[in-house]
Amino acid sequence: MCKAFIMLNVISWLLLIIPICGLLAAWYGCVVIYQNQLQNQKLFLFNSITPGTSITTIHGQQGTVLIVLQHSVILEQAHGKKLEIWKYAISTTNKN
Amino acid sequence: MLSQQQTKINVLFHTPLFIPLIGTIIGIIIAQAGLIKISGAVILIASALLEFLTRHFFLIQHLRITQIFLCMFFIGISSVQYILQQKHQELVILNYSEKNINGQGIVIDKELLVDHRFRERLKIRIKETYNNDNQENKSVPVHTDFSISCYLPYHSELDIDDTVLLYNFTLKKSLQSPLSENQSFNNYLIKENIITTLFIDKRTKLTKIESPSFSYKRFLWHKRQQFLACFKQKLSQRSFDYFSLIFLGYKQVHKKNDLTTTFNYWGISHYLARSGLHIVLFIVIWQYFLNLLPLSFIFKNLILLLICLFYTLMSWSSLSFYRALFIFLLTQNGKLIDQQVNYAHLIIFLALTFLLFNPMNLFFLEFQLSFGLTAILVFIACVR
Repeated sequence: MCKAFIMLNVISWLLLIIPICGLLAAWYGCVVIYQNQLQNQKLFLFNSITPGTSITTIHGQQGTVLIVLQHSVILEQAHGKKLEIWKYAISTTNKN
Repeated sequence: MLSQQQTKINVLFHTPLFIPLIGTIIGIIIAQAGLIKISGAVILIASALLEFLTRHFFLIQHLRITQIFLCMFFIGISSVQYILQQKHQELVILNYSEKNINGQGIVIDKELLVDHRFRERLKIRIKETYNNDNQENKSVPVHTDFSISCYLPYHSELDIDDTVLLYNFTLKKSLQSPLSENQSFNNYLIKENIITTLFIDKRTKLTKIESPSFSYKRFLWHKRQQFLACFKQKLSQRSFDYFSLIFLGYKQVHKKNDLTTTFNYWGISHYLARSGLHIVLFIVIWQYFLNLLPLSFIFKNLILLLICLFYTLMSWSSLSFYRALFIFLLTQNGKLIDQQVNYAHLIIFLALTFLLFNPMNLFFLEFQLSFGLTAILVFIACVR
């Protein structure tokens, strides 16, 4: 009988601790390890961008860079539309 | 053209928590189907952790393998959580069902009922029990932890956070396999973290032991009731009913008027529920007024944040409301610390959090519609 109540208490604590561990694992596994690899690559791309560079974003938009800002670039698309693109959203560059 | 379309679809996979979410959903489904046991789930978690450690120490950079192990890790963790939730319920029922017990607990929620046979509904978290059958062990308390929902036929003096003693109650054994083979009520009880529903009658007694001098939950509950009484006084009955349903999310309104019947007749009763869209409308209106004030960007956003938090504390929340609120809070946070926000990532993060804390949510329409529809809208916005 007593064993069952200890089990009950342990289970109710685990029900709280496990999801917190899961979220921490998600933060470590994804945001730290996995995201770092993707971002390092994109930061490298971002550093090589100057006005006039042609870039493609992860959303598939293409255009020429007008202005380079601290965290983003202003992109001009073929049909004249201007967009602000963040550095993490740049996927490839095509330097002319 | 095709490659461009593919890149657009790949946007979803760029959100890093997409794979953990898929893992979590698979884990809950296979745990529900009974295809995995705790030992199997622990093996999955251990092997995934081993892979992460090897990767960390030997600096292996292979993204695909990590993704597979990440998925395995979340299958393990969500199935363990699902199984534990079921086990908790089963263990309590096994130990207490069909026995006369006395219990000591804390009132965690109180709801005043309107147009109902009972007057009040209390949610009590039982902390200690005393066995009534065995006279020898009567004074020996047993530490435990479960919640029950009590219906009272009278208005009690009990308040939130009061310690109460519940004499002579019996937990009814819920049918593990009902005749209709419909498990949904059992699942609903597990989702709400309630073991059973208790109807207080002459045989069962409920007495207050002590009341804390200050409790913030009690303070908020009384403030909400004050606001409600104030609105009730100033508005007509019909406006008050609509206002409390749509704006406050308070469902205890008079059902005798034609309101619910007409809405049911036309099949639009969901219009009476407060959804995530309402908080968006609320924010848009406040944003418009704040734009008229000559204040700095940070200050305006902070004011908006405080207004929304106040509104949340003073109303009755639901899952879709929390989803919209947390997305708003995280977006505001992004604006304040100058970081880009991605809606697909936020929605996936929230779905993952809700499922990890309460896996049973996955089988309920509230969660499926709220997150499913929003995810589809976000996906369409990404692809277009």
